[in-house]
Order: sequence, then C-alpha cells, then structure tokens
Amino acid sequence: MFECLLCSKKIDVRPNLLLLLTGYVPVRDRLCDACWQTFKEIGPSFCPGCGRTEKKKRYCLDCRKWQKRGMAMIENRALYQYNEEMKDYMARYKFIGDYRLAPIFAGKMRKVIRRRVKEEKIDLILPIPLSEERIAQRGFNQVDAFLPVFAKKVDLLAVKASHKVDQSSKSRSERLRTKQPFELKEGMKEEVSGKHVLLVDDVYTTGRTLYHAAQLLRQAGARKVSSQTLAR
Amino acid sequence: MEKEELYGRLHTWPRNRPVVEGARVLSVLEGARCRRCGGRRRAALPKGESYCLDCLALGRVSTLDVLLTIEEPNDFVPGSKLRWKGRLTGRQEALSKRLIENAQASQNQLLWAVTGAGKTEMLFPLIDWALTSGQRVALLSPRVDVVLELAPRLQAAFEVFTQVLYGAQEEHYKYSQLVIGTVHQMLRFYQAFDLMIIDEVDAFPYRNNRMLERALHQALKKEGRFLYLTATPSRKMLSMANRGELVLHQLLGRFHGGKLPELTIHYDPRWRKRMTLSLKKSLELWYFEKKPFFIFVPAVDDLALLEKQVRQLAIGRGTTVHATDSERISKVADMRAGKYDYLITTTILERGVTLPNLQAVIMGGDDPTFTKEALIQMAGQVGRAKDSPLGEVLLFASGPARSIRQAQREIRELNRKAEENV
Ligand SMILES: [Zn+2]
Ligand SMILES: [Zn+2]
Ligand SMILES: [Zn+2]
Repeated sequence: MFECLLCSKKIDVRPNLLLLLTGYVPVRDRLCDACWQTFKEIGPSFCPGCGRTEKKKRYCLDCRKWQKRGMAMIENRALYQYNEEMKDYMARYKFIGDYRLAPIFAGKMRKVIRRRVKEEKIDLILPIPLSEERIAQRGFNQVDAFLPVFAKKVDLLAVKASHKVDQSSKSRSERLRTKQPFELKEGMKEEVSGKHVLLVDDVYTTGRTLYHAAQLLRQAGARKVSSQTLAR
Repeated sequence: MEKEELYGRLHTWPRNRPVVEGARVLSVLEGARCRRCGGRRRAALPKGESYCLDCLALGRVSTLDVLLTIEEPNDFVPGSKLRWKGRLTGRQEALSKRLIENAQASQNQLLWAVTGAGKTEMLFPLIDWALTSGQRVALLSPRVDVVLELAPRLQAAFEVFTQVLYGAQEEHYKYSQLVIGTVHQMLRFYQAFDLMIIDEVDAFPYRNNRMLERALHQALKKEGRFLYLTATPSRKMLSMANRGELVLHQLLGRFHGGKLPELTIHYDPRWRKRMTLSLKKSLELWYFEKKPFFIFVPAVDDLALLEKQVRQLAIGRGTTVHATDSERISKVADMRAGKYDYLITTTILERGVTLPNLQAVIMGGDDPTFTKEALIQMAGQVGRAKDSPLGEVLLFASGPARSIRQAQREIRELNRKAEENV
C-alpha cells in the first residue's frame, strides 16, 4: 500500500513487474492527483528577468528595482509558481528534510536544464551551495537532485564561514541588504573566465542570493550568467 | 538553548553542534529502532545516513542528529497553586479523594465516567495535590480540540505557568510544572512526569497505537503513574483492572442528572443519494428552534454529498470539517460562537465539544469507521451542556450492524446504572 508523500492519502499503484521486482514506484504515483494539481506552472507569459508569471512579457516591479540599482539582469526561468502548496513542498523537502521528496520535480528540472544548456550555449552548471554546517545537518543540498547527471557541473562557490544565518529566518528587507555570502573557491577564476554560467536554485524569492552569486561570477570574468529555479 | 528546556525532554540536536553543558547525549537509534518513537520505517539520506519515517510529523530525527536530555529535577516553586473555588457533588468529592489516595500509594488508575460527568473538575484536587508536592504533571488528550478546550479551564484553575503543546502551535517550548497537550507530544519527553492523566484513552488515534503507548511510558518517570480516563473502556483496559494492574473507578451518573440520548435508528440504504422526508423535517425543525446540529459522516468524500443535500433545504449556515482540515480548530470555534447552524463532519469532532442544545445525525452508522465507542461518544455529545440536557440523535444506516446494536444496548445500560446510582 502506498501513500501520497504530501497528504498521506492512499494511492492505488498498478502492480507491474518493476514494482514487484525492485519496489520502484514511478514518480507520478508518489503524490496523489489532488496534490499534483495544486502545483501551478509558470506561464504562458512571464517576466524576462525573474521568470515569474506576468500578464505581459515585461520586467516586473521587483526586477525593475534591480535595474535601477544598476545590476546586470540575470535571466531566471522557473517551472512553478511559488504558491502555498509549493511553499509547503519546500518546507517539507528542505526544512524538515524529507529526502523522499527530492525526485518529485527532479526529472522536470533536469530536462529543462538540459534544454537550456543546448539552446543557450551554456558552458557551466553551478548549483547554489549551502554552508558546510547546513549540509552536515540536512544531509543533502536540495538543489543537487535537480542537476542533469551527465552535464558539466562545477563546484565553484563556497559559502563564507562568517555567513551562517539562515536566509529564511530573515525578513525580506533584511535579506535584500545582506552582504555577499559567497566566495570563489581557490584557483577557480580560470574556470569561469569567458563562460556562460547557469546558476541553479530551488526558489527565487527576492533574487538576492542569485544576484550575489552572479555578481561574483561576472567579476571573475564570466561572459554571461543565467539561472534556473524550480519556483518563483 | 536554555538548560531548563531540556529537563525531562528528548530534544533533537545536530550531531555537529556543540552540546549544552550537563546534557546527556542519546543516540537516535536503539538497534534498528528509532529511540524517539520506536519505529522501524526509515528513509535513506546520501552517504548511508537515514531518518525515521514513523515520527517525521514531529520533525526529522536522522542519524545526523543526537537526542539530548537532562534528568528531570522538579525545579518548581512549592505550595498549592489552586485558584478554583468551585464545589464538587458528594459523589465527585468522594471519588476525587480516592484518586489522591491511590496516587499516593503509587497505583495506576482508570476512571470510567460517562461524558458530562464533570470529570475535569473532579481532577482538580488530584492535580492540586501533585503540584503541591512538587510533582510534574501532564494532562493529555488524543485530540487537539479537547486540548484547546481543557487548556483555558486548567489555566484558570491553577496559578502556575502551563505549557500547552499540540502540533500546529508555533509558541516556543518553555519548562513548566503542568503540561497540557496531545498524546503525540509525549514523543518529545523522557522520564519527565510524576503523574500523567490521559483523557479518552480509548479514542482514536491512541487506541491500539503502539507508538503512542510507548511514548507515554517513555515520558513517565520510572516511579511515576498514570490516570486513564475513559467513557467507554476497552476490553484491554478492563482486563488490566481485573488483573490488578489498574485501580478502576466508576462514575456513571451524568453531571446534570440527564441521560445519554438513545439512538433513533432508521434504515436507509440510499442515504448518500438523497435525504428522507423525515430527516428533512427534523433538520428544518431544529433550525426553526435555533438548535445547532452535527451531521456525522463516515468518510471525507461524504462531506460534499451531505453538504449539497443540506444546502437544498436552505436552513442557515453550515460548513464541513475533516481530520486534516487546516481550519478545523477555527471552524469549531465559529460553531461555538454561533456563526454556524450546523457542521458536517467526519468522526473527528465526536469528543470534547460542548454546545448547548446540540442535536446530531449519524449518517452511515453501520460503516466500520463508527465503532461502538464512537457511536456512544457521538450520542454523549448531544445535550452535553449542563443547561440543556435533552437532545436527539438520529442514526441512518444501510442496514443493521453489531456496533449499532451494542451501542444502543450500552447506552440503555449506562442510563439504567445512572438511575440506580443517583
Ligand atoms: Zn496528496
Ligand atoms: Zn521579474
Ligand atoms: Zn521515530
């Protein structure tokens, strides 16, 4: 008997050979239909800066603020709207640390990243890192599951040791003011120089984290920085 | 983290963080079992680490964590904290004395009292005795609704900081002599309590749940003792009493001298399809007489069916509630405040809700989710408030069922005993 990983409702999984032999349950059968339907995809039109759903294809208010501050825009794309249900999913996956939820959107994220790598001539894929301490407590980086298995991934960034406070425990304005939390790992400057880098994160909220990382990469000589998140 | 917050607790703590001074460090696994809940179902993390699935709802306990505790020091201000000035009836007072005597003699006890027998007040002298002698006390129920109803009454009765604990609450945990909470919260305690009072011990989800039973024993001090409360004791509880493991007390008269309403049974295999004329008339009459009512249904899917049927009658405002409804608590509060005329609900509200003039309909009374105990409790809800002892309970079933027969028989039996005892 199987239960929806989010709401515990019982799910009928049709018995098949793979299930019988290995116990493998297809990803679509790990959530109930009702839970699947609560996730809303982005689109059809969205902000070209942060990737959020917009009525017209133009920079949203948040993005225009970044523009005003003279930041080079990053082209973020997201798969889903950051609605209550997506927040709940993130809370369970990241903060509670229920690792069984990693595969739920992993396939879709990998697919869209593979497509963008090809279409946008991306040279490097770079997951937003967690601090050593957080990784040790959580046991995984939630973004790792989203990365294509055979793509070129690099471990360029580290979280500065001084930057320990959890982003989610801060208010929006506090988060916008935070100082650069990342640093380039030693000897990685050549790796970045002249490259188109795709940053990958779980969610774009204020954009601060991604803009920090992008700024660092541009300073190190990156030709272009784009990003992909699961939710916006 | 304050040292106090670890007294008698089982606190999840990352393995890589420095430990609070003086705390005992326990591993998260005992063999293949989770130390916190005793469960064996686990999910894997990278690098061979894993976490417990059985108690995940209370936060993850993984092999990346340890559990911290500090032995319960009973660091409390001595003396009586009783503020309550009410009076018990002769029988209630006699019984509450016996509860104290047996607790002094380190006995576990079972109090069998029908709904509305004034159980809570009867416990005040016992709780006062325990608090006065510096004991740590927990008052527990399987249901959040009941916890929320009990908490203000206890807080009014005792002048002592009381930590209220349940799943959805955000308040930070603080060390307190008196704890009121759901049974699940006991998973976070370790040999903390001298006295644990467990209400509705025969109710779902506690009944036959080994994880919760284990949690209760883990939260109790080695020399501590239990007082179980029930309106419908299970055979298991009664046989424990027979073997002398529990001292059994019976209080079968209702507080207001009223009786439990008998079930008015109707057989109607098509209750899901449409409402019988007689039921429509009853509902309309209740609405006309301004009597609130509950409609109990066996499954979540039935809520919408019944809601549609009732809406066609145009008899005021109502809503549906189910176990995992996030607005459950506020909907019940709204019903109590008179914002709703009726509530359509799965069994979850069958206990602990006090409403004057309440009437009830049980749809699909023969469904296996409605055990004998559940049916009696639902009947007990009706006319529970002191000033309005009369109420009706209409039961619609597709056909006869043993649970219904047994419930009806037991209601008559309880009423007969109550009459003899008065
Ligand atoms: Zn679900
Ligand atoms: Zn934007
Ligand atoms: Zn566990």
